[in-house]
Amino acid sequence: MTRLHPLVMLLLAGCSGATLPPPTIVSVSPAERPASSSGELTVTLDAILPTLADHGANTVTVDDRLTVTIGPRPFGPSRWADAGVLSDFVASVLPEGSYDVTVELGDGRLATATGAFRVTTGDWPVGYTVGMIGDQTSGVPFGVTLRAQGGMDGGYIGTVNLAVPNATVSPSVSGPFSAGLRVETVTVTVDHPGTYHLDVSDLGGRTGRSLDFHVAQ
Amino acid sequence: MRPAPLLALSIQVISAFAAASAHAAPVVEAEPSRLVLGPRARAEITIRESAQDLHGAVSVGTLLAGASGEDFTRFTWTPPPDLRAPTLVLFAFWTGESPTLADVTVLALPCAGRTDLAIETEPSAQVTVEVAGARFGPRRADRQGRLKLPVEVGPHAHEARVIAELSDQSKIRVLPLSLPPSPWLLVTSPASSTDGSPVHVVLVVPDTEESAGIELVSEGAKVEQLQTVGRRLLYRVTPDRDRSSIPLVARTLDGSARAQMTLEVVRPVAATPVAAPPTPPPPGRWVLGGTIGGYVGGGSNAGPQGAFVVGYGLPKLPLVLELELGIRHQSMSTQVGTLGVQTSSLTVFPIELAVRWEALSAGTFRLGIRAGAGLLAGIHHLSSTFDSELSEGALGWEVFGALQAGLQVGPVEPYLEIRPTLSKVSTDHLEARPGGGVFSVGVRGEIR
Repeated sequence: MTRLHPLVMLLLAGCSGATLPPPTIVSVSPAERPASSSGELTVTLDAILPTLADHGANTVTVDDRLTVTIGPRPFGPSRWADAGVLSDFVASVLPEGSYDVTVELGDGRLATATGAFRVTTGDWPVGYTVGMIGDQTSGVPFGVTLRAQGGMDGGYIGTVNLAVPNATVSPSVSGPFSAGLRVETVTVTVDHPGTYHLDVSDLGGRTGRSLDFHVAQ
Repeated sequence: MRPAPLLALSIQVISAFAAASAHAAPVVEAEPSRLVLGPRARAEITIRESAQDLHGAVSVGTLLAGASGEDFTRFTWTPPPDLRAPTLVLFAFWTGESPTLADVTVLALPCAGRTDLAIETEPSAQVTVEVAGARFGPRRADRQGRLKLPVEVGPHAHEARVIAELSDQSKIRVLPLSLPPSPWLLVTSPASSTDGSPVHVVLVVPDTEESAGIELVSEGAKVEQLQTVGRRLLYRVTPDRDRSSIPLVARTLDGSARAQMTLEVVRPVAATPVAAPPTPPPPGRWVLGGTIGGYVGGGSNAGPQGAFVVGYGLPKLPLVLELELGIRHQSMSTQVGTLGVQTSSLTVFPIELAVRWEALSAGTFRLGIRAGAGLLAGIHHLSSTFDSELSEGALGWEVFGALQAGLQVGPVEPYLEIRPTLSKVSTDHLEARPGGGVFSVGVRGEIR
């Protein structure tokens, strides 16, 4: 960034202090990804955080609040970290298209990189199978094996949405598949003991369903 | 003693003070370099490469202008007809109206007196007298052992050694010589005060002076000692209002007067339609100096500092208006949570106006009191291990009082300063007080 010498700035402005420049989105890596894949995304930022140095008290106060979004979805931590190099896992939940990356600092300074992240056409499996689930207890985590059938070379590496009708399941989006296989730890919470089933689906509309299993209170 | 309109002389150049000065001290030669007082005694003084505005003075006798050329001016000095006692005659030459000691060349001309020394010794002894390395005689005493021997005694002589030889025996007696003190040189420049304006007074004390202490007293004037180099002193004499003449007496501490003169105060004539142009005001003094030191203001408000000071001394008042341009620097590094280390450095350039009161001047000791205020223009720099750097201008203020103590050493005055201050520099990103207690070592000198 080209800047005038501070003393020249002082003479020109006739006063002291500097207005902080807006943050800069240096890079988004990778810049594009198929809709059917998931993985880590890195956004690199350059910014001067709001800072007050008190020489009398020997203290420095920094407002490190931060909000980053990719399209409609929040991304990364809520505090400045790692010198502005922010990494986060992005599930395969964004439809094909270009997405703005936006950063907002704690003092309201804002920057937007228009269309900085692009989602290309996905290569989806033809469907999903869910392994046998035994009797479970509400609120107690258990493992479930998810398999993607067909699809891209090397197997599916995206994520799926998880749902249990008439109950709550956590997480609602699975972790990434590897070579078409995902062993996910889920927690099902029910209001009434009974028989339930787990539905999986992806952004391409493919689905899968488990056999019924009993959940006790 | 009044300066001769143009003068001259040289004998033994006692000192031409080599120091920074507005005028070069004249180069002076004398012929002869010592003489014996008598009806035909005289000395020729030549000033080389003299400027037009040449002034001179002598402690005793008459100094008359003689021939002059492009690069010299010649004078003739003659002693008073009744001067017979050994005397060290002092001369001073300078250019300009308000000289400092660096502008003045001082010469001393030893003048010996001739006398008949009455001696009582062994009958028919062969007598020789030694005075300050010179031998007189031999001459034989009469049968009663008495004789008178003519000798020449210089102003530096303290005793006469009488050597009496008879057969194979010799006797040596030491006779103490009591010589009257040589007069001091006392002269003002300019020769008179215009409407009560201050004048400079040069006082030169001969090295033959044995009484302790030197003081210049006056009646109806303020006397300030400006410079002292050895036995040469420079004063500023400011006549009281409505005085028409000021008696000046230079004396020893036991009250023995060694030189005296009267300073006339010239009043401007009432304005008439054809009045002369107004008398120019007396010149002020320009003072240049610099300081270096440090400051402590609490927390990280501490660091080195320095300043350049230019001042103007008000005529007739012991006040100096000063402009000070300085620099100060302070820095701090702090761990900020888990983010990393933030460094904040501040460099300020004080631009301040001050008034310095020259409160006390005793001998070479000087005591001053200052007060002032000004702006602190600065640069604040933030750098860290976790975000980008920031440089911003910063503006603040300061008010201060200060106490200074110094010693006049020739044309310069080294001094110490202690300065309590109130100061503040702040921006959206900085809170600092780059002042508090400011401690300095400085030196300054006057330029006229």
